[in-house]
Amino acid sequence: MLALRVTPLAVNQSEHFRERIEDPRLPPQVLDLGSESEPNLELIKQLKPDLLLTSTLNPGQRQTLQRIAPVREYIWELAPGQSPYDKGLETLFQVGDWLDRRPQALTVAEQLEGRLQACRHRLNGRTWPPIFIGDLTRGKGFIRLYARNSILNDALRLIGLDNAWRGEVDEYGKNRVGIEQLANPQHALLFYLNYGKSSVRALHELSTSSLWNQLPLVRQGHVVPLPPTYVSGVQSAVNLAEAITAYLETRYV
Amino acid sequence: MSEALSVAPPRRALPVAVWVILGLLVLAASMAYGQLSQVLPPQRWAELLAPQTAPQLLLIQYVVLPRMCIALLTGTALGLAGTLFQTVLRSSLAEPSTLGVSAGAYLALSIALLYAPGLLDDGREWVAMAGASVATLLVVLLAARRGLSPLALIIGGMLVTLYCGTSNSILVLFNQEALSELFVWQAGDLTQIGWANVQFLAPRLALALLLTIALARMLDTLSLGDAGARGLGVSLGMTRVVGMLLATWLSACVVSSVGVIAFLGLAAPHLVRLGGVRRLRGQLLASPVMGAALLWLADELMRRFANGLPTGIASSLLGAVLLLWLLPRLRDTPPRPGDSRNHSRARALNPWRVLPVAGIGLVLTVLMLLFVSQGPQGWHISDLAEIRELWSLRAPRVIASLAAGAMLAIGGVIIQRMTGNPMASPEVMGISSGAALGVILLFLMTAGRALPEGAMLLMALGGAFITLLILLGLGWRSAFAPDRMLLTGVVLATLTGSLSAMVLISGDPRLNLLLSWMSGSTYRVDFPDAWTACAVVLVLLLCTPLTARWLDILPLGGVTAQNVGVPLARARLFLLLLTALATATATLIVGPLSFVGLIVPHILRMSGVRQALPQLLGAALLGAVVMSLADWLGRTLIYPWQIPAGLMATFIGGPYFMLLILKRKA
Repeated sequence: MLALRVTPLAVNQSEHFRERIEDPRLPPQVLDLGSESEPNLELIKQLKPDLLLTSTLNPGQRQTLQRIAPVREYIWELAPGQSPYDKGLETLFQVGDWLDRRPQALTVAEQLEGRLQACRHRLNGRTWPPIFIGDLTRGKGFIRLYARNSILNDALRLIGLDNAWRGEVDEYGKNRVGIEQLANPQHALLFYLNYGKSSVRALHELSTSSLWNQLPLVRQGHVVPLPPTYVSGVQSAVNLAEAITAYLETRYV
Repeated sequence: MSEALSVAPPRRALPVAVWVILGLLVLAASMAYGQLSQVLPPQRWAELLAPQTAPQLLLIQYVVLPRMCIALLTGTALGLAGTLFQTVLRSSLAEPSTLGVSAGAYLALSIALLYAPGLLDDGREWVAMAGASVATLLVVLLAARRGLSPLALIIGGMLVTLYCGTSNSILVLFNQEALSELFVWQAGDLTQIGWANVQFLAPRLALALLLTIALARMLDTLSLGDAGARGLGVSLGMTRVVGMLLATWLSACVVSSVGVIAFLGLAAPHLVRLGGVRRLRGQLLASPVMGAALLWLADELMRRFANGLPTGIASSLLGAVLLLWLLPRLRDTPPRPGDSRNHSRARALNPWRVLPVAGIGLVLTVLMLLFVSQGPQGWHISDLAEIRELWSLRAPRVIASLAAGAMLAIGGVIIQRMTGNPMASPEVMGISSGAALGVILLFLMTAGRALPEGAMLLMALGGAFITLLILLGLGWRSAFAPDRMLLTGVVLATLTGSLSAMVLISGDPRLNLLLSWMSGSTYRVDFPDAWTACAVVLVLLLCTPLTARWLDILPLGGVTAQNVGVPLARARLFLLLLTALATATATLIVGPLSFVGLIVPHILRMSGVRQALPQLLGAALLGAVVMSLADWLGRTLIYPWQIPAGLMATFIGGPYFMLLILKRKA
């Protein structure tokens, strides 16, 4: 929605959104509705919104919300054979239609495609190491890697890079794996999404682990933070693709 | 260590326990050997001594081997801590998780994790120790009024555990991103990524073992009983304090390195005793080894057959089942004077004068709940237009929470009178947990699919009813010894907890639904649900007058009841059904936790309402008020965010109930 230059009246967990996402920024006048699973219905009703957007990620919410105002629910699950990036574009167009902003959605999509092409071009003609993308988690020596079925994997693919993690993933396109899995291939790079404080803590905790410190990619200093983002929108995927491209260019030329 | 402890007199044959331990160790070792040699043939094991870079070798060096060590160390520590607690407190049911020690340590760690992460770098152990100590102190304080009797200790421990759990859930509510990590951690995951934890735990365990050896003689005299010990000139108080501190510290160390592993500290000493080790010194030696063997085997089994599931879940599942089996076979703790008398010295009130007042109170409360709230403009009293606008959203929640409170309170009165146990309640005895268990099983069975309509209620009913049957089955055998009934409750609550952790970790997309339900959220209640709940309350209110006479007589004991012509079996079955119905329906609305069923009957008795019928009616009114107030507070306090009613009720009710116990005349 923000990509389409439409400011929502209110969102769930606005603080969380503001903390995590730098681009696009959530304007300060947007109200908070409470938690994602239980947005405050009384408040929603009193705000008298024109339209409520929800997703199939919150099963049953559509029925609840329909009692209050018109609801549009975008289908979060991928159609068979559909890539997450295409799904993201589809959602962009869908929201564009609902908000009467189809032309803007098309423009946004074109711009994004242009930015991806530029990245591809900048990286072209060289071989790059395979890349892990993940969230650092705290406490137990696990990492959540993004792979098949995730929009970040698509971002890598679209700019011509290889994802180093080819194992199983869950329906969110992530998998929680032990950090020892990062040992292979030895020349891989690890990009992690930097969520500020919690990532710093996680990295600090990992650095006390002898296993972590033995990992080839740690010893070679191939652990790189990326700007924070939500892992769903096309816009954030392209932002990350650009950040990765920029890093590779500066480090490997 | 073995030299100092094994000076026991020569035995004719080795106790069975020794063979059991050896068997477990051999089994675990052969599993470990099998798995290791698959990855790396035994002739290459020497390579592990040098630093390596190949992923396979890294895995063994920094993950597999430390994990094995940590399982052994943790098992030893918990076995020792359990034996110490049991000796010092003279309660065969004491162990870190039943005493609330683990829960206290865990809560302290979560708070630190969220608000002062810097503390965890060097002071992890002391954060855990602080939490564990506060919890232990609280439990001892709660039990002190009743001479630290085993029952009082367990009740105290359970309250503290419940309360820590609630506080933790509220923390999680506001820190959803940290949620999954917290859960995994709590579940007792033994995964290691290096030797840091082993290096942390090993010297501490060694120190604790040395101290235990030094204490062994004094602990021995403790087990003789107060008089015997005093005769030998041992300072009892000192020994107990040192023993408690030692056990608490051990538990804190375990929680801070691997999380909560429930029941091991209970199971190991019991198995050792069952296996024929009679003397305390023998137990002090054998229980830690038994603990180590049990946990190692459990961990190997988990790794082989349920990869990814934290071992703590397995251990509490196994432990809970084991305990349920052990319960009827336990040798009795020394009988305590009956707890069934009403100690309150309040003068008996004329209940028929109180009830109208309570009724008016209810009406006023409901009006306030409906009209006073926070909105976009802040605190205000709604006008009629606003009420009309929000009616369909607000009313079902108010009605449902009123009904749930009433049901729990009625269930509480019935169960307290039926068992003659003032600490009984649907929540404390695990009936709510049973209902929750039913629902969780439903979740596990229908993995990923939509829940069939009405199935939740059926499963909850079934769960509650089966639990009640088990409870009463145990109760009849032991003449309703409160110890056992409460313990069964604890066991069931833990079982529920670990099964729900399984669902949580499995990443089921209905996770949010389950979480919100477990924490007692009325968010999804609509008018049909609310009216169903009201109908159940109505049924209860119509049925209870018929049972009032039974309930007046039952606390006097089965024989007396039969003598005055109560059809015992039929009366109990009928009451059972009523309680199951009340609990299951209420649990569906406000989740398995909340102290309403425990507190409300208490308040009534303490204010002098003694007869069954006015107690039932009064409880229904008061329960309704309390639960709906909790719901209202949850809806308004941190607007637009919401705290589930069940959580809120526990959060407020817990301390109140603890105060109640503290003030109670011994």
